[in-house]
This record gives sequence, C-alpha cells and structure tokens, in this order.
Amino acid sequence: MLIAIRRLDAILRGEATRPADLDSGDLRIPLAGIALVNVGLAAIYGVCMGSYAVFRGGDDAWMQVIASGVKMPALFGLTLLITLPSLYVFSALAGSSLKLSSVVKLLAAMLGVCLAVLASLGPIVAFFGVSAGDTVESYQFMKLLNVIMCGVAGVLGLGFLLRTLNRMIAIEMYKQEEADRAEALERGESEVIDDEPAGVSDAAPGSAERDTEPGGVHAEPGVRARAFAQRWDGPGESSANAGALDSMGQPTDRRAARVYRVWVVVFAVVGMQMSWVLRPFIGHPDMPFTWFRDREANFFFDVVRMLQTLLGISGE
Amino acid sequence: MSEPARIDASAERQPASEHWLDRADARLRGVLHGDAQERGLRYAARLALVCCLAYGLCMGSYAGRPGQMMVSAVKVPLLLGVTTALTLPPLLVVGTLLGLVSKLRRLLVAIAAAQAAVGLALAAVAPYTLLWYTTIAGYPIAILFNGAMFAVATVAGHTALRRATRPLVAEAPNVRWLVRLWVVLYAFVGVQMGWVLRPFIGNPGAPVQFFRESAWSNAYVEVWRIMRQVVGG
Repeated sequence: MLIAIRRLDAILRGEATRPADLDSGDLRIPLAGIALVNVGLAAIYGVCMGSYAVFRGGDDAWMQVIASGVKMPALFGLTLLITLPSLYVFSALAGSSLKLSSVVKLLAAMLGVCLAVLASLGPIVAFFGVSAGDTVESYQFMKLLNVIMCGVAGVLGLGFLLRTLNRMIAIEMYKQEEADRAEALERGESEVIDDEPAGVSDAAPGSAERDTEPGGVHAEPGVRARAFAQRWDGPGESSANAGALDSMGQPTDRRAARVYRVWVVVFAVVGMQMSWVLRPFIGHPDMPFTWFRDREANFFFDVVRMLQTLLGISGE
Repeated sequence: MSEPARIDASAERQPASEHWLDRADARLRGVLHGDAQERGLRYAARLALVCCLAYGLCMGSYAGRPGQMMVSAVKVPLLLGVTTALTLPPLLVVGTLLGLVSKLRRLLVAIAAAQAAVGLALAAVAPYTLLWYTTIAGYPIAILFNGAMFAVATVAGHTALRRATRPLVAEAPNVRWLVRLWVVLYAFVGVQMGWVLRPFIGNPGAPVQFFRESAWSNAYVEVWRIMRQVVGG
C-alpha cells in the first residue's frame, strides 16, 4: 500500500511518466496497489460530499455519508468498466501499439491523478457542506459546487492521460523508426532513411551513430528513451524535470491520439450519466435517505434544472 | 585609518548594535517586500497571528463589550488561518501535477508572507477603525467600514504575494497560474468562512455569541437572493 502511495506520488510529480520510465512501453506502477489507493481517495471525497446530509440532521444522515463513500469509488470504477473495452478495441483498430495491460495501467494512473485532485478539494466541499443551510438553493449550490470540482479534477486527469499517451505513442514510434533505420542500413538502402515522415527527421545528435553499432536496435532499456527525450528537449529545458502535465511535442500518431480524445469525451458523458444513476450523493434536505432514487430524466436535464433554481427562473 | 572609516567598519562588524526598532523595521519590510526567506515562514505566521488578533480586538470593540472583543480576536486569525489551511491541499496537488514540486516550499513561504502582510495592513488600519467607532455611530456603516479595511488589507496581501512570487515566476512561468488559481480558491472559500464566522463586530442589540443561529447558510446563495430581491423589487 505504501509503495502504491509512493508510486501515485511519482505519477503526480511526473516522475513515473518521463521518457526513461516509459521506454518499456508500459507504466511501471503496481496496478492493484494504485487501484486500492484510488478507491481510498474516491471514498474520502465521497465522505466529504455526504457531510452535507449529516449537518442537516435526520434519522439516517450518517447513512448518506457511508453511501457516498461507497458510491464514489463505484462511480469511477463502473465508468471505467463501461468505457475501457471500446477504448481498447478502437485504439487497436486505429493502429495503437499499446497493450491492454499498458492501457489499464495508464487509465489507473489517470484516475489516480483525477482522484488525488478531488480528494485535495474534499475539505473545501466538506466545509461548504457543513456551513451551507438546509434550503433548496443551498442544496443546488452544493450540487453545482460538486459538478465544478469534478469538472476541474476531470480536466486535469484527462489532460494527464493525453499527455502521457502522446509520450508513450511517440516512444513506440521512435523505436519503430530506429528498427526501420537499422534494417535499412543492413540492406544498404540508405536512401530510405531520407524519406522520413515529417516531424521525425530531427533525430537526436549521435543517435545515428548509435544505430550503426552492433545491437543498436536491441540497446539496453532507457537508451532509446534518452535519445527520444533529447530530441524533444528545447533549449534550456530537460525532460528529466518535466511535470506530469508538461507537453513534450505534438502527438506523432494522430489516429490513435484521436481515438483517445473521443474516448475522453465518452468517459466524461458516461461518468455524468453514471453519477445520475447512482444518486443521491449529497442528500436532498427535504427527502429521506435512500440508496438510489427512481430513474427519471438524466444528468444534463438536472444541471439545467439546478441552474434554473439558482437563477430563480423556476423554483423546485 | 581615519575616524569615519573606523566607525563604518565597526558598524559593519557589529550589526547587533543596531537599534531594535530598525531591526524590526528591516524584518517587517522583508515581509512586505516579499523578501522573506524560508526561515521567515514561522516569523511570518506569528506576525500574521498577532496582527490579526490585534485587529480582532479593535473590530469587536464597537459596543464596548470585552466578550465580543475576545471573540473577534479569536475569529480574525481563524478566518485567515482556516481559509489558508483549506486551500493548501489543492495548491500542493495541482502544483505537483504542474511539475513545481521544487518550488512549493518557497511558494508556501510567499503565501505566509502574504498572510503576514494582510495582518500587518489590518493592524496598521486598526486605529482608523477605533476612530470610526468613537466618532461615527451606526452598526451597518461600521460593517461597511470594516469591509473597506479588509479590502485594503487584501490589496496589501496580494501585492506582497506578487512580489514574493516574482522570482519563482521568473524561474517557472507555471507558478503564475498556480498562484492565480490559489487566489481564486482562497477568495471563494474566504467569503464563506467570513459569512460563517460572523458576527465580527457584534450588534449592540444582540447578545455576545461566537456563531449566530443563522450562521449555517451559504453566503453565495444569500447574496444571490438579495440581488434577486433588489432587481425584482
């Protein structure tokens, strides 16, 4: 568990997603450990969300805290479960070379970032929950506040996903490029090298020399990643100090990156609807505790209704 | 060696002989100009605490009740301290995500310096508050006056924060965005904290109390309701 927390810290610091660590084409994180940490972080935020009900009183107010603490990990887990198969299949179809285990680890890391941000915002949500009144407007405010908090965490988490994915795909492409180059040199077809795709011709200084050495294609782990990192480093910059959200160039495999971008939108939409299915998370001040509410409308209608109530266009 | 030169050299060798008022002046200027070093973190925090406590005493003296003065003296440091504590976790997590781990310690020192600057500014305007209380009657206008004093102190705090973070921004431009994010979050939480912790001044017609019965409500919802009433007539 402690190792998993340390790895999550390394993910947040960007140390786990630097080119040298992605050389194997995989994130070196303990999947089960990170999943457990994620569950814990989601539960912390869930408890903070449910604190609103406790301070409004009622017979089963504490049940709302427990329910929210259980439902938040379920919300993220179920959303991932629903969207993961389509992501894997369509990214493979689009030509991504990432293995299923790599995709799962990448998504676990993304959720870790997302949930760490959410958990850090938890005390603020709990403070507003404790101090908010028991009026319908304050309840709607709490809902809107939680939507904004989840939105902020989601943007940061998904930004991390796309940046890390770009790095992983770029390293894979760089490896492929090196292999092709070595193969061409073996055949003596040096003119093939000149016919490179745009954006990959500015190889790191010295990388061509390395390729000509025996065993260049099968160099020890980290060598290619360092060469890759050198290629992306700008003047005065170093990828060794890059943060988790720092961009390291444009995506080199646009089709695969596009699949992930579409998936990000799908993940957000499914997540929002899943939160609607699993509601209540906060607990309406005028309603008794219930684990689930009746199926009616959807998340987006509710956001509109929430804004209408707050703006006084129509009361509940 | 000539006499003036000998005096200069001895002054350089013996900074301890400097007048204590000058030493205090140098330290306060260090905080206000954002020069607080890492060792200044504790000093800045203590300074903020003492100054806020002093302003709280003045703020609560409106009706001349010692009980309200004591309550306000506790509440003003609480307002700043708890708001800062609530906004630090997101600052640290987002700062780490932005690759600013090595800058976070200095950023915390800058934030402490900003809090100290807010406290210093409040303490500096406290005599005006006392003068206002003794010369101009009216509870609502006393609230407005204190609001204005807090606004002045906020400007002082923001100036100190900007100065203290300038070298950090020069090293890593992302720090600017992190600081802006923190300021927005601090203001958002601070407004609600101020609302919950009221009364700070103490209505002469009401008993001394730490929290009002109606304290547990949402400041933003209340403000929005008032605005709707004003617009709607």
